[in-house]
Amino acid sequence: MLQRVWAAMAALWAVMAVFMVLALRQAPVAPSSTTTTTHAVTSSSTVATRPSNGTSATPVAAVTRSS
Amino acid sequence: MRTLRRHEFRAMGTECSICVAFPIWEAAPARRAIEAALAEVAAQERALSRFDPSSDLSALNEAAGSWIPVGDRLLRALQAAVDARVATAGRYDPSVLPAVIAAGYDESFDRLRPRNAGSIAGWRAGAAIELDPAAGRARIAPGAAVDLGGIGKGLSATTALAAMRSVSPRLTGGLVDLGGDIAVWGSAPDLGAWRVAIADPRAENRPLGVLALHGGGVATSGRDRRRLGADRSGHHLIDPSTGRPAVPGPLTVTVVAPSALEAEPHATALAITPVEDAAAYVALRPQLGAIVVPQDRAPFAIGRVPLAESEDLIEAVAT
Repeated sequence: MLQRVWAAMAALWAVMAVFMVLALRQAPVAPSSTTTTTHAVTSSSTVATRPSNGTSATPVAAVTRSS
Repeated sequence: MRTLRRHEFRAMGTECSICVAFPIWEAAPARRAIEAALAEVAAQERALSRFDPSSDLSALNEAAGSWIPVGDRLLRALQAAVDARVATAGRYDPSVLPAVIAAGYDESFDRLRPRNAGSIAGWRAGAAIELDPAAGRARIAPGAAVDLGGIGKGLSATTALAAMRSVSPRLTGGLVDLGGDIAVWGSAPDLGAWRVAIADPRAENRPLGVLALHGGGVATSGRDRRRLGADRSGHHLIDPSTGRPAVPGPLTVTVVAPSALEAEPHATALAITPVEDAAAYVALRPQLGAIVVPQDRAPFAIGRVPLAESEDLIEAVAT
């Protein structure tokens, strides 16, 4: 029984280690004159990037306008 | 779990951004995708800018009347521009550059100094643009000059998005925004649609509505910005039939199309089309949707417009 508990704990630590390595791989884009930001989102949230030009309740990814 | 990386930068004389949605274990491919898109936008700008004397386009304009070798990017852009001139029945015309300059748009807008309109004597729309892809060369009519404004950003957003997909096909989705001309692919990190707000030219602090897109492109054209002339009362939207800044037409128009490349010239065309003719224009092109903001009445939508929110600012869709 004790061996099974130890085996389960070892497996859990192995999975956590994999996720830590993956997280550390997230380096920013090559340096430039601009900024890069990363936002984690959950499966139920909308894209949280920037306000939709003011007062819209839900954030949007971009705004189309004449330029 | 998925995440979003956003990169903001300046190119083509305007504010730009790239968004990538990806599973957290695809961080490296997402980074490569953004780098590929940035490189593509930079390469397009080097080839297509009329403000860069070393660009392929500047060389073509300088050699008007003669065949000259040009790169693949300019060849593709010229072909797209010629196709768009046909698709818009001449309302978008890449050969309006002399008229654009006469209207006062003779410098990058960042550097533009107000001055009065110049002469367009002798200028005619529809100048010949001949392409020889097999030999990698092109020729424009003697005295003509080409401006790829009105298609260049839409084309570049489309090719930048394609570059992203090419280097990292397993991403969840992507979005390339070049000054409001936007190409979209796939899903946002929540696996829903990408949400794109439509700026209201009459009120800076609120959007007209929000589009929900899983693909295709969006472009907006209008006379609310880039004012020209000594008193800044003119605008840069040239009517090819007169060679002068268009008189009829809405304040702005936003077009939704299967690609940003297709959306931008149709937005340019609708921006010089009388408001009462806009529905007929879109009806002949069922792949398009448009949101028209007239100068003197309420905005309205025509055709396929995937609105997620309109906040009651856009009238019922006309058919």
